[in-house]
Amino acid sequence: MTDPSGSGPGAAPSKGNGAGSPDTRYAELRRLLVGPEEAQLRQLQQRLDDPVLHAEDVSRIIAEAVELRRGRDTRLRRALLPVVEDAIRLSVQRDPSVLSGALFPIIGGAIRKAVSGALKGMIESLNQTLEQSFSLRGFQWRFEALRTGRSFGEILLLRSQLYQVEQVFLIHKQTGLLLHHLSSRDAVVKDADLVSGMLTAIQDFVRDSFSPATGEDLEVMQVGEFNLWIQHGSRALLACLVRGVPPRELRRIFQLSLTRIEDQFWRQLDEFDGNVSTFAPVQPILEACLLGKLGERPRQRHTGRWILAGAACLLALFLAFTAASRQRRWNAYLRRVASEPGIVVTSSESHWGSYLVTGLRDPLATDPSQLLADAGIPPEKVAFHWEPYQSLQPRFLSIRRYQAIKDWIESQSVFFELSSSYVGDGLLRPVARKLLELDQAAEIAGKRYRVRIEGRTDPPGTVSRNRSLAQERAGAVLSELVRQGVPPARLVASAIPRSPAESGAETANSWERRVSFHLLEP
Amino acid sequence: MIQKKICMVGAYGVGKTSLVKRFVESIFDERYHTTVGVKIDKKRLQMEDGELTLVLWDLAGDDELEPLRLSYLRGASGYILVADGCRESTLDIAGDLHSRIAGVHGALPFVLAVNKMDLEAEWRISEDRLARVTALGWPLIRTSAKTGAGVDQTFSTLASLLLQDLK
Ligand SMILES: Nc1nc2c(ncn2[C@@H]2O[C@H](COP(=O)(O)OP(=O)(O)OP(=O)(O)O)[C@@H](O)[C@H]2O)c(=O)[nH]1
Ligand SMILES: [Mg+2]
Repeated sequence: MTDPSGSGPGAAPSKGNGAGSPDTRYAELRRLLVGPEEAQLRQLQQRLDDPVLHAEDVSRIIAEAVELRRGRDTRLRRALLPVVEDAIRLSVQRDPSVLSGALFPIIGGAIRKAVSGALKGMIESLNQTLEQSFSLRGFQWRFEALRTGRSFGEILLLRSQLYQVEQVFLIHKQTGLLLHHLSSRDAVVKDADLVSGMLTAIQDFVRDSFSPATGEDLEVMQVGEFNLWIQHGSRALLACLVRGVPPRELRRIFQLSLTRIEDQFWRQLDEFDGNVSTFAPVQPILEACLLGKLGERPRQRHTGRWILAGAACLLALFLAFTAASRQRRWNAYLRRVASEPGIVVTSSESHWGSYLVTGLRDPLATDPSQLLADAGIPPEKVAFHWEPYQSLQPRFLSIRRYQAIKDWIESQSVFFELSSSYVGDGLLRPVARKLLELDQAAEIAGKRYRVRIEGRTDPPGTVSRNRSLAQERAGAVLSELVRQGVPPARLVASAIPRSPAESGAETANSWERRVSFHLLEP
Repeated sequence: MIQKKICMVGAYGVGKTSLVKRFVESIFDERYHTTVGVKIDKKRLQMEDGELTLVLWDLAGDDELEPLRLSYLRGASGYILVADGCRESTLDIAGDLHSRIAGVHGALPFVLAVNKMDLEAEWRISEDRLARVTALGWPLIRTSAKTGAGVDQTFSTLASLLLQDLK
């Protein structure tokens, strides 16, 4: 191609030549013919050579071009791959925090999800295998579950030897100080205090860095071959170091223990001033968390130890025996209470020798604490929590009915004319009917009673006249009631004498010329 | 047995870790390993009326990039403010930290340790300035993690302040 720029060897000498030479004419012709195009060409060349302009041009179309090419084949991708890889490598070398910062929101969550998913899956499949396996051992466990009334899971938990809770830390949430620590081995544990502090610091760190808003707490940590399970309460943490694959049930047990501790010690936890000895009584609760291969103790060699061990065994047997008989007594008592009409036991718990019974109780039912003495259980060991309710037991229904009728009858009065003991016709019919009903209800409720018919008079008149008038009025009511079918054995008529003080007001008044009723109950 | 959590706070490199090391293990190291997060140690003290265990939280030094995480002070019974006698700015930082802590956790017992007193030639904080701090009522102790001067005194002063609080 000819060089159009004019700087080439063909263009330079043309200016120096005289006019009219063939060269000049040719150049003239050329200028005339292709002059405008030449200028355009020059412009174009300039554009291609100038990197700034060129870049500007490419930048205008590069996105569209990439898009087009991407759709056509995979070469672009293949060409870019090493570039991107290098770029990432460089970025990590220069400042890892940039990339990790950018990726954390995705990766952090994904890892957490994957880890917890994998963990859950693992444990679940293990659980399933265990539950489905039909070994002699499995069979024994099922039998044990049946016999003791515990769930199969619980028995599995107690019997399977796949894990060991090695250490339990009770940590004060606020200060991170160790309140109590237990380990399943005799090995001296180095600096449980520091572990406790570190745990809290890690919690603080996690809460600060990852989820300040949600307040999500760290619950599982993998520490070497250990799982660290952390239960969060409002005032304390319970961290348990478990070797092996802990079953899910364990978590519930830890949670229950922590709840129990917080329930019993909330005041000490709130008022904690660094004095850890106040938490010595949590020992048995924490001990119950040290589950696993606890039974496997190293064999004792020395005879002296054997004797000691024997004595310990005897003691243990004795304790077990007393515990068992105490348990039997308690169970018998519970059955007795539950069989009482008007009592529904919804739950009963025992904590270290004291008991809590919850349920529904009709106020008319026997007081269960009265039955404790019979059962030989010290009353101070038992707390009851009863919600009141009305039992539909026939006896309780009748008692309620009896009470209602009694109240009604005692509110009734039969009034008389001056100096008269005449009972109007039909006046007593409602009372008579109620008395018959009362008789039925009393029979079912097992109540004995008599109705005293009380005759009264108003002040005017002599004392003896008034007394006989009152007696006459009561008698008239009695015979009228008997006439209407009320059993006479249930009725007594009596005159209520006016006391001399009352006699002071000498005016006649109709309110006091009446007969009323009162139930006498032995 | 009484346990108390206390924190070491101050600017970076003032010698917080060194002071704890001197106090707990009686050793000193010239090398500088900056603390990341928290380092926890403990030390038993025999006090007049019984044993006291100090659980020491040695916090990472405060700087512009990584300001002190105040949440680590939650539940602390007191703290030791550490400044470096060779860098006057660390005293300002100590004062700033003190007011930030008080803002979040309320007034707690504390002691100010002005450290590295063995480096006389490089000492930059004037006696005048220190006198002004004492005039505020701040318990101030000059220390050296290297020689051990003032170290036990710093911790035992704070310990007795804590026990006073208990009464
Ligand atoms: N001469 C002298 N050097 C000290 C003293 N205390 C600390 N140093 C040195 O100062 C440097 C920093 O000490 P550290 O104890 O690590 O400081 P720090 O406050 O824990 O630092 P960060 O953890 O980064 O906040 C180390 O090189 C120590 O050897 C001291 O009393 N005298
Ligand atoms: Mg440090």
